[in-house]
Parts: sequence; C-alpha cells; structure tokens
Amino acid sequence: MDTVAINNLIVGKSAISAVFNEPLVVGVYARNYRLVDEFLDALAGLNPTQGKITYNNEDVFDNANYFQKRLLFNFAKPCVSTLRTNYLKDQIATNWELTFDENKFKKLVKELSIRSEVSIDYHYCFTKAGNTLTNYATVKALDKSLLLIKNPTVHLNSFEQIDPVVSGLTDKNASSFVFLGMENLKNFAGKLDYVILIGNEQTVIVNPKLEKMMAVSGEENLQEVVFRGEVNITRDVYDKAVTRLWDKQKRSYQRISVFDIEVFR
Amino acid sequence: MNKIKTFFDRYVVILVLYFLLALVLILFSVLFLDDIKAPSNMLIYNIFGTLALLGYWQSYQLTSKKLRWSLAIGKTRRQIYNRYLKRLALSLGLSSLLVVYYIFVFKWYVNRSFDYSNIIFLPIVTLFLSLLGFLEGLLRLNSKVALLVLILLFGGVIAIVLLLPIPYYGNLVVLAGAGLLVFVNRFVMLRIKV
Repeated sequence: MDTVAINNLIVGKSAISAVFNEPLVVGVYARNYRLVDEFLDALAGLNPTQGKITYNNEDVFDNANYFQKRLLFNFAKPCVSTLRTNYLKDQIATNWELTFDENKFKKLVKELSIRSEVSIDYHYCFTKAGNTLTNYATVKALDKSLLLIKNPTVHLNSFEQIDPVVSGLTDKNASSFVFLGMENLKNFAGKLDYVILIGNEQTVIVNPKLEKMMAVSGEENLQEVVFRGEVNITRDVYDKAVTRLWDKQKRSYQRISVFDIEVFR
Repeated sequence: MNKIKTFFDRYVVILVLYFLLALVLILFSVLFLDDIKAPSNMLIYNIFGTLALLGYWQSYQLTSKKLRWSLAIGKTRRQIYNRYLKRLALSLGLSSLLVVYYIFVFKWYVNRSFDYSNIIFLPIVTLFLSLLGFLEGLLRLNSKVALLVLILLFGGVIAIVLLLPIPYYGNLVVLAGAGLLVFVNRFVMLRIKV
C-alpha cells in the first residue's frame, strides 16, 4: 500500500502533519488560494520545504520515482492549445517521455463537447471552460496514479461539465491518490475522503463523512477556530451546555458541512 | 507511404538531414567566399555567433519559463539539468564538426590560413554564454535586463574577436568561467524555489 506522509510542513501560520494511505481523494481549501498553491507545490516535491513530505518513506523533493507517478496540473492555466491527438502524443513523448492515451483523450473530447468550447477571435483559442476541460482530458490521458490538481472545476458552470470532471477526478480505480486544490467545495460534496482546511488560525484535516463544522458569530468561548471573520468557522467540538449558553446569549451559530464553509465569511 | 512519413518525422532523422544540408551549404559558401575574397573565418563567426545567441536565449527561456512546467509534469531538477548539459554538448559538438569540415574544405580548395586561437575561443564563449543564460533564467532576471546583458556581452565578444588577438590564457580564463558556471548552475538549480 502506498503512503504519503506529511511531517511538520509549514504552510501559512501553522504546521501540518498527517499520513495518507491509498486509495484516497483529498480536497485542500484555504480562503487565500496562495496557501493551497504552496501546499500542493510542496506535496509535488517541487520546492524544498521546511517540514518533510515522504512517499513510501522516501523524501518527495526531486525524487525521480515519485515524479514518475505524480502529476501536478493547474486547470486555471492554459496547457494544451490543440486537440490534434497525434501532435500532442508526439510532443509529449519527445519532450517529456510520457505515454499519452490518445483514444481516451479523443473519447473525452467528444463526451465533454470540447470542440464547442472554442472562441474565434483574431486567433483561435479555447474558452475558459474549454481550457479547464482540455486540461482534464489531458490529465486523464496521461494516466498517472498520483494527481495533484489545482482549480479542478474552475470556470465550469453547467452540471453537464462539472459532473464528469468531478466523477473522473474522484474515481479511485483510476488513481491511487488525488489531492485537489479546491476553488469550489460545493462541487465536490460527498466525493472526498478528507478535506484539509488551511485556515488563518490553524490547519485541520476533516473527514466530511464523520465530522461537522460550526459557523459562529462573536469571539468568546471559541475552540479550534479555523477561519476567523464576521462569522467564525470552527470544528464542531462543543457540547450541549455551550450551545445552550449561546442560545441564552442569543448568539447565532449553525452546524454546517465542511462543503458549506465558503458561504460564511 | 505512412512508414516513410513516420521515418522522416523522427527527431534523429531530421537532425541528420539538417546536418547534411549544412555540409552542402558550407561547400557552396566556400566557393562563394573565395570568389569575393572574404576573410576565411567569416563562416565560423556566423556558426558560433548564431549558436551563442540562440544558446543564451534558449537557456534563459528554459529556466525562466519552462522549468516549472517540466517539474510539474514529472521531470526532476537533476534530469532537466543533465539533459540540458547533454544537449548543449551535442550542439557544440555538431557545430565544431561543421567548423572542422569547413576548415578542411577551405584549406583543400583555397589553401588559406586560419587564426586557430580565435576559432577555439568561439565555442568556449558560446558555452559560457549559454550557461550564463541558464543561470539568469534561474535567478528570474527580468527579460529586458537579460536581453541587455546579451547585447553587451555579445558586442564585447565581437569587438574582442575582430580587434584584439586572443591570447592562449584568455581561452583558459573563459573556459574556467564556463566550468565554474556548470557547478554554480547545478547548485542553484537544486535549491532555488520555482
């Protein structure tokens, strides 16, 4: 069984430590997306870090074995500028010595109607949604077992576009580990095993199937605060006595799913 | 038909064809240069001048623009740097072969002398400039500044080659600089945040 272990990795103000065993789909969320960027870059072994991240007990930084298996992609940035599969296959093989499943790519281009997502201006280019879908099709065609995806559903608006991308990325038969840098938590409701919340107070790892969060106004008697704001987001660690007290104080609070925390700021 | 097309699409085949084309062009240029009584080193300056310009700019682009993407898709820093050094050595080796061929044809056809200290100086400078471009890209030097550095250095090299005799130790100094850059680039490459 493959394992990713994070030990004292410092992102933002706090340190993260965790061990993940395959197969797993993990979402990473922060109000400041730069922190998500930083976390996924560290997990990809892109940069030297203050803490330590290992994959099967080997440091991930510049590790050739790990790099062979993992893929870091930002769906918000243009990567592929054509749908010509032969050209893509040649380029990817020549420049990066990777195998590209052209049949899978063609199938996804057809299923997601990517050809309709182009705009003809002074030059021919993908729309923003088209760019996201093309990146998704490319990731699936590259067939790596460990995916690190930033902005997985960015610029996608319709259910017809979002659903296949979410289902495809969270398919545990296709990839052993998927870490998603969430720009929209709602789209992945019910699909994630864990959500890493990088807050302005602390970083927590939440199992959305078992744990709830609390959205509370006011500053007193708060525990395990993750995000501070007009409404504070904390872990749901309060017993009935505390909530009764809040009721008496007419303080507003709400138990919420981790996928709803974007609503409260 | 498809097999022939696939054969000619291969990188190595394209490279060999370009190399053969260069040999033919050099042969014709020797005849032309002799007709106009041009200096014998002229074509060598062109070959290494072009290579130095392209080498510098390509190296700068590799580290300033393409490095992050290459890392993201699965190449390690060590792999990228080793591959870069191999390609640089290959391009310098191929251009040196072209120069040797040119000298051979020129001597055989015209029987004119060459200034060898200048000829040795050029590939070393090309190597130095390429490695410098690589370092500037790693350090995220602004592209306008990088271009200005290139213009100044390239202008300086042209002035030295055309106006000054290049002493033997001059070549050694530039070669030592290039050797130092190989290690500095490796050191920075393995540590810098991208």
